[in-house]
Amino acid sequence: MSQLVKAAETAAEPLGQQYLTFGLGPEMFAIRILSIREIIEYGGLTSVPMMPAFVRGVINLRGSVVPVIDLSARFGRGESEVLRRSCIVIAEVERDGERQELGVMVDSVSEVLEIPPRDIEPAPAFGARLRPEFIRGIGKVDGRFVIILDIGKVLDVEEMAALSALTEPAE
Amino acid sequence: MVDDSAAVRERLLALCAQLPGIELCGGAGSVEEAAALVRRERPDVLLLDIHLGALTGFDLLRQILPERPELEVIMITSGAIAPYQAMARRFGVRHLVDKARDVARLPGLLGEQARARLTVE
Repeated sequence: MSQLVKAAETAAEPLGQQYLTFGLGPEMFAIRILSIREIIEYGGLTSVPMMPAFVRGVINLRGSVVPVIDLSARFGRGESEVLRRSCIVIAEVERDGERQELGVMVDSVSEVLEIPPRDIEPAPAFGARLRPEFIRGIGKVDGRFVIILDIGKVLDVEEMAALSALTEPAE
Repeated sequence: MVDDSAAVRERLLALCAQLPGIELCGGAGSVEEAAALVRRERPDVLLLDIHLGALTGFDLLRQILPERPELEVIMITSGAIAPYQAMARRFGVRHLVDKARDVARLPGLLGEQARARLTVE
């Protein structure tokens, strides 16, 4: 019952502040669960030739072909190793008004939690070892910092396509 | 029954319609619709998807649980449910079901709720 009272007490909080936290390398990241469709175990990937390093391959998700992005490679930190707890987070991003599903490979998924806006600070201008536009803010969770990602920017399909054109071998 | 996919909603409503002791209050596809439906129909049990377009099932619970603290909620999602468990518990939700793989658990859970209410009445 006390849990329900707690929920009632926080009724005035803005909506949609739930985040999925996950590990990638030594850091904790978070994305709003509004952009997430589901979380699946790592596996079943088909690699696609001639793709940039950050496209790990494609999976068949209930009949749709979904590209899987290696987040570590996308951040320019080298390809991820497949670990025991590696997962694919299926996220939905918008492109030209159309919604597209993309998979994101992460080392491990932790939990969904609420990070109220007062516990989120703006992204630092330097020192984050990550392109600043990828960061929505830095959240404080139980004394730890989590990097809240702007998944729309991280999974910007056009930008990724432009990058892959750059990495294509010259003829 | 709240899910942002009309196909899933229909499938689950059809499943529930076959169960004895259960009367369907209706389906909703968004937090707004669902809040209105719960206030109007006053269901005993809510089958609630986590991902609801622009908002989440947790956002719905935050709105309606203060008015309906006794409402029994079964949350559903596709894929891994473990990451959602702690959050669900905070809202007093005891059951989380993977609708892609574990939908067979629903009749049992709903039947339990129906029986519990019969005993009380």
